[in-house]
Amino acid sequence: MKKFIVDYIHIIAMTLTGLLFGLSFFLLFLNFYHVKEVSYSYTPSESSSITYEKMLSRINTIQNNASVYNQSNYQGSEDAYEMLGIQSKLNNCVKKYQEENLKKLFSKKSYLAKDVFELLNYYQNNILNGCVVLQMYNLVDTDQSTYKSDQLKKVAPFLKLEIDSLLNNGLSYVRSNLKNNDIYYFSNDDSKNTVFELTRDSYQEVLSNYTKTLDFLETFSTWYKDIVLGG
Amino acid sequence: MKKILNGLFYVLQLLLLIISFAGTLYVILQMNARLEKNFMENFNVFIPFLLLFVLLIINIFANQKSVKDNLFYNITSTLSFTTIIIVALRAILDNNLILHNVTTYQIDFTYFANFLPFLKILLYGLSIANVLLMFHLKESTSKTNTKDLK
Repeated sequence: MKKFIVDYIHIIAMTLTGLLFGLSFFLLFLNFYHVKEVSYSYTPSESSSITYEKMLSRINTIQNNASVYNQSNYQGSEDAYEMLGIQSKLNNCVKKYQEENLKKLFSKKSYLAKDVFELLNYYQNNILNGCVVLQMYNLVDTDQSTYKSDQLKKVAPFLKLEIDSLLNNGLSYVRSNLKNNDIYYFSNDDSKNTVFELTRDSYQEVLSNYTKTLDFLETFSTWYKDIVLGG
Repeated sequence: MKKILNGLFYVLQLLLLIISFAGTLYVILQMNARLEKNFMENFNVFIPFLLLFVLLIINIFANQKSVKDNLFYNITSTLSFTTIIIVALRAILDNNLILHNVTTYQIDFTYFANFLPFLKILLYGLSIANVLLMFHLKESTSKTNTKDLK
């Protein structure tokens, strides 16, 4: 009887040890797999439709549109100081796209998740807050704006819609996903292709937001140019 | 061969237990410093370490061969401590974890905190297995029984 109980206890001990062996083996290899997953780098195609060079050429267009206004020889009907103010806002936004930090971020050949996170941070801090909110929102906010231009008031509702869509982007989802890249799991190529491949899809999403803001600025600068030259 | 392997893994598990304890202690101390928490609030993390340490000391001084010479147990212990060390090292060194770069402490606390339940399961499990393996029939008794059977 005593031998039977001791043998039984021994079996339980070895079973428990076996389970622990399995668990630690699983956790160890899951971690190796996760190391490989988080060190994945995405290399954007050079023929991609969105590149920093293409963005820069559009930035030049915005700069050119803004530069048509010259206070010393402006003969139009709009308030000269308001036109100067808008020009200054556009130039401030352009500067955000031309900063060295952003150039460095976009000069990378391949992107790790942390690089995408930096791109995202730059976009939210400098482009979205520094340009769209601080510079542009003031123009279209009819209650608070100091700009009295009738031409601006006519387009303000449309510009406000554009700004709202820029502010209501899906980047909070991308941000939380990137920040949670320390949660480990086994994924496969199928799920990456059909659901969400963290580095690649986050990069594309962030980049599309950079260009959406650029679309808005380009449209606005074209309107500005038309007002200056036509008014 | 089995004896050499046994000795190797036995020494290795003792070393790795100390290293894994040190790694865990370092991360927990940094975590407490960040949250301005008292060390005692996280003391429960170290209880299984201490328990296992006491059991291993008992194994050594009582010369419990049923535990010391159990190759499978020694390998499992080594593997478990290696896992704990790798997780602690990743929390401290893996730059690709985003939260590692966000905090000024350069440690991904969330990643390590997510592992804490597994750490406890592994250490308490090893402690229970160790205690269960201590129960065994004395060799002389079993030999007598074998003789009797013959």
